[in-house]
Amino acid sequence: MTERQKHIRNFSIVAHIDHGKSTLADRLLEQTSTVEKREMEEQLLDSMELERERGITIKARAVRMLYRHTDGEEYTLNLIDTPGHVDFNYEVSRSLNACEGALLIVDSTQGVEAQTLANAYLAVDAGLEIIPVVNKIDLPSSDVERARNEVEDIIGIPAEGCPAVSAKTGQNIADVLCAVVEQIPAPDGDENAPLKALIFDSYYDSYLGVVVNVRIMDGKLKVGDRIRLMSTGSQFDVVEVGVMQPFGLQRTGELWAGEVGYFTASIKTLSDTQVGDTVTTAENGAEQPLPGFKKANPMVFSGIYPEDGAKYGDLRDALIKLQLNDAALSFEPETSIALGFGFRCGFLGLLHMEIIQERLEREFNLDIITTAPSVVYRIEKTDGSEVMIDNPSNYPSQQEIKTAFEPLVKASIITPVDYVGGIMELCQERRGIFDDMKYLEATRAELHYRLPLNEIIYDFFDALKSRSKGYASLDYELLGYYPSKLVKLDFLLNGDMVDALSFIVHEEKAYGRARRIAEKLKENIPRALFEIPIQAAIGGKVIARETVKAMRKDVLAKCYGGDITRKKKLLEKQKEGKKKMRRLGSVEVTPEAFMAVLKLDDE
Amino acid sequence: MSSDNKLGVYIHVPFCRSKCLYCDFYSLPSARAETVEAYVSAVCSHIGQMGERVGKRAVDTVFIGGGTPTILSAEQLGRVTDALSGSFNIEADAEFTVEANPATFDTDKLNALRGMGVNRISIGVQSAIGSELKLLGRTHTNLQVENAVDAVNRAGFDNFNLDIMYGIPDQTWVSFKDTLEFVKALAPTHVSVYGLQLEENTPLYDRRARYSFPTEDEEKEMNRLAMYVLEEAGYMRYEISNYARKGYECKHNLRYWRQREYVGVGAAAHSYLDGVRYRAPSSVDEYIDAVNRRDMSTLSLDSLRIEGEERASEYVMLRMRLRDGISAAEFERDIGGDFSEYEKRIKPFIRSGHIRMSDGRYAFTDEGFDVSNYILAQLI
Repeated sequence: MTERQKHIRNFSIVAHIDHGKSTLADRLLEQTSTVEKREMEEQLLDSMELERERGITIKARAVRMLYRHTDGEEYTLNLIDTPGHVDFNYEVSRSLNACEGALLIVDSTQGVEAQTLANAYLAVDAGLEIIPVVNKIDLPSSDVERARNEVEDIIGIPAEGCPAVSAKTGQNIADVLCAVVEQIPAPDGDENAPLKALIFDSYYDSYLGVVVNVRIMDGKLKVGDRIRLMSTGSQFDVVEVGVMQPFGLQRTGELWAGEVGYFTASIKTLSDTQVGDTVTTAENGAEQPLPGFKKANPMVFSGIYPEDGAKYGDLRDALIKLQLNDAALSFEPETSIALGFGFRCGFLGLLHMEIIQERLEREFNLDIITTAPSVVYRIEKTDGSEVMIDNPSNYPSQQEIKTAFEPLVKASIITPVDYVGGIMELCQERRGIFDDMKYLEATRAELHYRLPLNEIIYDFFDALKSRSKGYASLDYELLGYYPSKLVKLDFLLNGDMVDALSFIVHEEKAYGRARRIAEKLKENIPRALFEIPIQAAIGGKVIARETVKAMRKDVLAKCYGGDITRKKKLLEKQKEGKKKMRRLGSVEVTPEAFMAVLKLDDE
Repeated sequence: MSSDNKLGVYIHVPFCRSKCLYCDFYSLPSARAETVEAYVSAVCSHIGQMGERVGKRAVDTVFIGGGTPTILSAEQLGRVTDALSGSFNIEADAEFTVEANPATFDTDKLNALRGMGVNRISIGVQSAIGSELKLLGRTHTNLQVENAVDAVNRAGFDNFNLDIMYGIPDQTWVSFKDTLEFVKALAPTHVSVYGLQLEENTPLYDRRARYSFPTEDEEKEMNRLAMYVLEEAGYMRYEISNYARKGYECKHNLRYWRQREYVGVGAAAHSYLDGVRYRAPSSVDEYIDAVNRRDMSTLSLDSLRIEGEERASEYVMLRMRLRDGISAAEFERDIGGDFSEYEKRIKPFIRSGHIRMSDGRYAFTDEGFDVSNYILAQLI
């Protein structure tokens, strides 16, 4: 280990949601004077508005702090923040692989919770030194000893004497910094070996091109190096090398084994720099890449359409801009009879999809309509050919299908034992195949199921949370394709089929879903002057029906003392409301109708 | 500018003995006598100021509404009417309406009004069912209504209106029929039939969860019932919510629907004068102060010149309330624009039977009146 490495600590913070991860990060930045108090914005690392609002971290982010320890030496602390949702588990694992240690935050008023455990295991899997940090000791209901005991009993990590802090008030934050230096191992890695740098994040900057965040595992990286990205073989010349500051980048010209930093190399597209890939030098480079690289494949697809057809170009520009910073997002143009021109978009999961939707609406001010999410199905046709279907519109007719296959995932659910019954019921409803259950300790169990992906992309995560009072956590990985009895469910409004509402569903689920969606549609179709039948059909056979009754009465009332303006405003408002409606053939529906169809409550 | 250049005058009296639970119109229950007195003085000055402004322009309708105008004393009402005749060129046969509340009806005052040139009385009956009145916060009885009508007749008024309402919680088709029969028996020249509007910031709105309101279907049937009963009795539905014997249509209200001009006097009163619509401040104190300071900008809030597209779409919105609707030729004469764009929007509703076309006029059918709001939102 070099002198340089002895003075570096690379660590991450993992926690259950709301246990104070981002607040602790803020305090560390303050305590090390990386950020002055007056510059402090709450939850600095969560810079996306959406992240602060939802209290989740979407993008990994890193920051460097300089800390003078009690031994009088100055240390470089690299904090790598991680996303906290199953959609981004792969990104989390890459971020953790860039560290030697992790702070595991436990809320002393709540104790260890499911996510604490799931995240702790991710950190254990990555071989990290884990420092428990008991938080929220300023609250009256805080019980530090109980929290420490739970950490020891449930997770099996020594917690005696671990830091007990209040991230909110800043109490005992110095203990955390001490523990980071004293307990987390300094990085190793051979400075003289060929370069191996792990990409744990990258983003697009309009001046610099792609900025790649890396942890140097071996060797060194400096300005002017010709580098090679090992998964694609593409080569670039390094333009800039440096470290991450809270408010920007600081050039250093070089990075050595053990260090965390960034480089730019006139890279134009983000997809060239995939998270988990290994960077090496073009000449005398490493022979083997770092283990664990996976290409991010979209698992969920849906159509995104502008509410106002004239905004198609704006939507395209927005998607291009989002893709610059989100290599996992894919899209291509598609056309719907009902919705006009739009895009078929691919996402890592449902949260990823929701995030993209929200960003389109907030950051780009677009009103969009999203169709029901679909997974990718594999169809063997009777003529012997095979097609992959990510859009229900392209689903072959029943006669053309020899065998349909749907993707299955291996799901692992960790839950307090009290909720096992309800969760097993949920998995059963979602066509899950039970594999096994093991007790992690007396009060906590881990369930393994094989589940069809299309059963978990809608609202499974929400249903799981509601059946476990928020305690259960979910992780899943793709197992492969398995034969299944699938049908395409269509909806007709006033006799006309609405292609954007069609989706693919398992035969057994078709009737229930059809009925519930027909009900939802009924709620979201305003009364018109005529009666509107809503029908759900499989291949022309109607399996569910609802009717929106005709409007009976809508009269402007008294006109008090010549107040025409008020009347006019009422009508204008009504007119505006009407403008927002989507016309599907002869029927108007609220733009929310599409979303309402997706958000079927767990019943 | 319309061919008829005559003016209407509306005077608002924002005082009530007690406030009705559904009312979000500006009115003050139990105002102090000094406040009322100061208000009457301000109204008289304001009348004078407006009279100077409009000069010799003929006035053919006057309407004193509220609130409860008859809360003013005969002397106060007299000062107001004196100010009116002193400042405006009121035609001899002008329609002159005063609103009255049966709960606070006073025969002497009525006779005094007759002497002041008032020739039309409008009485808020709302319902003939005690429990429904109670729910609305109305304090009168049927006997009081009968006595009031009797007094109106004896005072020599040959023109009076009764207001009734449907859509009251717990109201039924049968109870509404009773109200209609009660009203019909009193033989008014004019009946206004309004649907109860649940307005925010009213006690009724706040309590809405406790009540069971008639359904859309039930309301429609009640509205239809009013039409059958009243048309059968010889009243004509000349406007979406107004019925009259021939020749007794309310000229003042027609003024609103025909985009003709009016001067509003009093707190919260709206005016449409020289092509501009505006309103006075709602607060009585603010109003009095503005009049005393001759502060014209405070007295003409939210000024809006009604022209171009705005004027055209309002023309359509307002005229379509009338039984005889709109003719393209009249539109082009009055507005100066092209009606064909509206005709295009009207077409589908002719096909669906909600608007009929005859003699070059487009007008709502009875089916159309039921859903006029919905349709108008698509026409304008």
